[in-house]
Amino acid sequence: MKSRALAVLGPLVAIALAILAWAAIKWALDLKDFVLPSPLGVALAFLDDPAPFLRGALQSAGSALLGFAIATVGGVVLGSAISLSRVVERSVYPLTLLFQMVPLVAIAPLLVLWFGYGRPAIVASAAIVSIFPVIASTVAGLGARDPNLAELFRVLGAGRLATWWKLALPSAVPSIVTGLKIAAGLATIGTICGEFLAGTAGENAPLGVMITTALRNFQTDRVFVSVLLAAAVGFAVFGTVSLVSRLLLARWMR
Amino acid sequence: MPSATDAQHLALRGASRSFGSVRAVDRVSLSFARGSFTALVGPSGCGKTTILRLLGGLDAPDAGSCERETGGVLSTGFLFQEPRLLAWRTVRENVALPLELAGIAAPERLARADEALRLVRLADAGTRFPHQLSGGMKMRASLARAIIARPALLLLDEPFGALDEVTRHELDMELRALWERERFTAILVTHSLPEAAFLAERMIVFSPRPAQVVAEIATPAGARDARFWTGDALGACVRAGSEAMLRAIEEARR
Repeated sequence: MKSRALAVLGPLVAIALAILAWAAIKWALDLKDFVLPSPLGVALAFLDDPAPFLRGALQSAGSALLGFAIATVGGVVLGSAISLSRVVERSVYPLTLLFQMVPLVAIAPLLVLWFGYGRPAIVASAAIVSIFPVIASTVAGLGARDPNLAELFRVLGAGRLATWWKLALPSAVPSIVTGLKIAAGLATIGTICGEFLAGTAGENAPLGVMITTALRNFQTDRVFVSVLLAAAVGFAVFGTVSLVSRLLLARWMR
Repeated sequence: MPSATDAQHLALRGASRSFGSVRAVDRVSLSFARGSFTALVGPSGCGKTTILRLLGGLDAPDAGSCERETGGVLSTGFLFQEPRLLAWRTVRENVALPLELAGIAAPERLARADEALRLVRLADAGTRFPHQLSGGMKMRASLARAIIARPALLLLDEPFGALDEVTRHELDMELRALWERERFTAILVTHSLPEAAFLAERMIVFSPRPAQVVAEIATPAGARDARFWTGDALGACVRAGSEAMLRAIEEARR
């Protein structure tokens, strides 16, 4: 009970202290609102007209989830192909590593060129940054099956494909889930980055666009609202993935 | 007495097997009659498991031969030292695995899994997961899986070695009862002389590595019950087996 109270109270106290420190810094350095708005000012900016912020958050969450879903399917398929064939492993795996090293901001303009402004480019950006951990965790998980169980399958005369489908892939699930949790956070980052470059303003402007628009207008309080909401979107995507994976893993863990 | 056809059931003829410069098995000749129960006993690391692997067709001798029943593959069930159950499957799905890999449809294989679970007195546990079972129950499930395809030959590699004494005796009694009912050919590797005398009709005692036959001891015929464990008949077999083993160890030292 005591540790439980700590788990809830601890973060709350830390957040309260951080907000206090924020207000104290603004007051002590006498910063202008457009440099650093007060916590209250940020809250009021949101409460004044929350609808566009919430619409924007919903847009961004949708792009992040879609990009994450594409990364999940693509990553598991690619990771499986890599681990199924030695030739593919030797040739494609280093390529994905190299691909991972390319900074997203460097290729984002290309995404705009290929997909145009709007959602497809944003989703592509989310998928590209989040696919690598899925590939890597799939490859690692598929390579780490229990040799005793592998012998059992051999003894039972299981073919290569049956062994992969019934032993290797299920054994890899806990590892893949770990990769998916990392990917969930990255998908949100990729979404906001994509929106910076490929997002379109208007009624349903996503958070990334709201940030750039507010910055241009020196509405720093609105920038803060959008940034905090972007963090909330990241949390929500991560939380959803964690919850789903916990349900899924009920069979594996223990 | 083994007849000519029985001798063709399963036999090693002057079989040797080396791993690198280490000779694990040295010119061993043994034959196994259909429906017999044989225990292979010897000091640990003497090469018993290698012999079992040769008999199961998992490995081939360097010299001599292993003759398995002609006219198709001798259907073989394996029981390992560990239960080797798939954690993400229910017990009945685990037990049905050999039939699943053989391409038998789900309703039939699950019905047969339930039947096999009844045979090992685990009928109530079919829908549970391995982590919900005790060590003894896991071994029972593993035994059910080993016999579900009604193999003509059951190979047992120190299957109950990791269990506590009481559970081990209990499982030994049930394995013996199962064999008396089903009469498959059973070959057990163990380092426990009492277990060998209890389960098998014939104990074959091996020397330290490389494995050579030093004694063949017939155990009393007939059914086994709990009192057999403490009886004179078992004691006599154990004494004869220990003497043969000690002689072999002393000779190996010289």
